[in-house]
Amino acid sequence: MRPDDVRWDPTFASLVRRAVFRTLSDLDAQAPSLAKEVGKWLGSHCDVTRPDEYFTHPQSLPFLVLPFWLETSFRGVAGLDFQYDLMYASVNGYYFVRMLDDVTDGHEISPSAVPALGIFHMNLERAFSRCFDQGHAFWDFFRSVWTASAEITSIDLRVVEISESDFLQRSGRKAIGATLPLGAVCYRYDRCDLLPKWLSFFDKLARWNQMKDDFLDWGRDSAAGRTTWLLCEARRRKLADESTASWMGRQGVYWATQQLEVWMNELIRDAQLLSSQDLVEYLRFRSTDFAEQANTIKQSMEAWTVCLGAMAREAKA
Amino acid sequence: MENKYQQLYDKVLSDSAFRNQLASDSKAALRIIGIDEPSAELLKAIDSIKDDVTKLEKIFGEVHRFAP
Repeated sequence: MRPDDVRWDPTFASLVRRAVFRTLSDLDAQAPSLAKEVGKWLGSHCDVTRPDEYFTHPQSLPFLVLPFWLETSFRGVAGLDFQYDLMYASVNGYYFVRMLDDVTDGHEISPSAVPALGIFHMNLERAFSRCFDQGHAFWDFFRSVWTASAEITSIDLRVVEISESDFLQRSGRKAIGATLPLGAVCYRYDRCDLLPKWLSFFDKLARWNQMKDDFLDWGRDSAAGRTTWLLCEARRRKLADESTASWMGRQGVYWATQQLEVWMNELIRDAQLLSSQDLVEYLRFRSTDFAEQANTIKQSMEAWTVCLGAMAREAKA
Repeated sequence: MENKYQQLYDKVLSDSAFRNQLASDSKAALRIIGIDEPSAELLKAIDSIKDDVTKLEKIFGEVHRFAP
């Protein structure tokens, strides 16, 4: 399988398209002026003519498809209206988190787009309200997840040092809000016995994805002064007079890719216990795809190191 | 000069804009780090690894972030 070969179930892909365009058309109907500002903000993140592709990109955390595969794993089919509501909720939740992140990280965003946060949150809750009455046990799950998401994000913005334990407990769990639709599936069909295994799996997938992004984005993160576990390890492990880039070339790339490979193997083992062949195949694709990327990075850097190393030695002589 | 090579190495690994510049106009990229008159050997060496630099940029440039 190649990256372009991720073939989503056509029914799933169609639901994603509908949910994303409905999110944007609802915003336009609710607050047309604000919707225009949000449109400009979205344009800096994705192709606004196909905003759904942002969610089905092969390198994305596949948080829209997991509830689909979870439901299919024990019912054999997914309830399309229900999954549509979950996707609508998740897309609004994603825009909420993404926009908040852009504000807190100091990315370029017009202040006049920021009030959309309230509407994204309102629409997220409204979608779950269509599935669960007010007193339903799901809402306890909702409150605990959404509170944890806010707490983790707040702490992560303040830290200047991240250890492995910090990453596992907090930084790698920043996408915890995306577990809401997994909980919704389990509560809806009275299958809360499945929830711990899927939540544990999601935690591991989210941390793999976060680490992979931190690895591929380390140059930009370093230049922007952002704190990630990888950059903290670089600071702790590099020689006294060594640059971060030099450590990455000498050790960091191997350290990070090995960590990711170990986690991916663990993910595939866990997925085999979740009764979803689609999920296992998807992970195999991600594993192969990342292995190819890692090999290319290593080969390119080795070529570069050999070339410049020789010239530096020559200059010194 | 040795420092310049180190700087060049660091920039290729860490700076996306520099990688793009190096691939499209290596002399202009070298001027950024103060190598105004690169030797023919250096230009030849850069040319020989341009494909590797482009591959790096393709991967590093396609990061797709979900979460903060």
